[in-house]
Amino acid sequence: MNAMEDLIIARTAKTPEVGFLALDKTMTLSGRSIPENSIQFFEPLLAWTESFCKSCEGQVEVHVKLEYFNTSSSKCLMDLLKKLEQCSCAAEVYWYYEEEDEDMQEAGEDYAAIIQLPFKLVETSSED
Amino acid sequence: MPLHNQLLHPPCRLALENVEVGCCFEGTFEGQVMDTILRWVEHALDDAEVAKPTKKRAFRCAVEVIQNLSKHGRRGSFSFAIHGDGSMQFSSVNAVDDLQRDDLNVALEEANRLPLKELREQRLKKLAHGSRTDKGGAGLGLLDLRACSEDRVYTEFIPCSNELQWFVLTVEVPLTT
Repeated sequence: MNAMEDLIIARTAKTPEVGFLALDKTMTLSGRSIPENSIQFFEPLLAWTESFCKSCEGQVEVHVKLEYFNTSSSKCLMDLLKKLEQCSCAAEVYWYYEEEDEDMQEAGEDYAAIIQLPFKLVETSSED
Repeated sequence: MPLHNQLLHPPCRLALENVEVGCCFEGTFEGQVMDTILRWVEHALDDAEVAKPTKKRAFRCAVEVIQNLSKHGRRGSFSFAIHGDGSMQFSSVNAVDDLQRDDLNVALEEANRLPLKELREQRLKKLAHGSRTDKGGAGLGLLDLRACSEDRVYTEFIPCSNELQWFVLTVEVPLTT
């Protein structure tokens, strides 16, 4: 069986950097997610996650380091996290927010309240 | 006739006198135009002497207002103003027909149904169980604008022809404390 390929996407002004690493079992989103068509952007991420989740084992770390996201992306992010709930391996979510950014902290708390996965909220300094 | 083919001039709705920074763009909201406006808003926010959380909130509002225009109106106007005290306003104007006005009124009624303190719970439910709108949106835009602006979202319909009216959406972003 072929090893699963990583999904690497460079960040743009409106879409986040994506680093989904199958062997490392880490999934990272960082930057901003404000595309007009978020469904189109997230579609390959959801497909990768679904495929990865069918056969992964052990622990997978999910790092969400978003500066901004639009409401359309918030729904896509929910879809991604819901797929991870069904994963054959144990996913743990690390949600990063800048100090004093109550909106992003609240967003993390909201996802944590809905998604049945271990969630860690990580405060970062503005300079990080 | 499609709305965007009609020679309509959506008015700028913000009085741009006596503001620190202000702009109004009228035209078709798509692709590079939207990117350029958002970049400009971001530069203006970078230069504003307000706390970073306020800037981030303001940018979020700008994104939602502009993308709302592109989804529902395409042709319209967007105005942006930063006042001397650091508070900000965004306003969009686009033409709607009677059917669109009725749909908007339903969406506005739903978004304004609950008081601000119960808004988070409403957003949570919609995020967890809500379905996509026919435009591919999450149906969270108006709720998010209410939250971002601490309930300073104002809407009005102004007649502009026999069959159309301007839909005006104005959002004020207060200083975060």
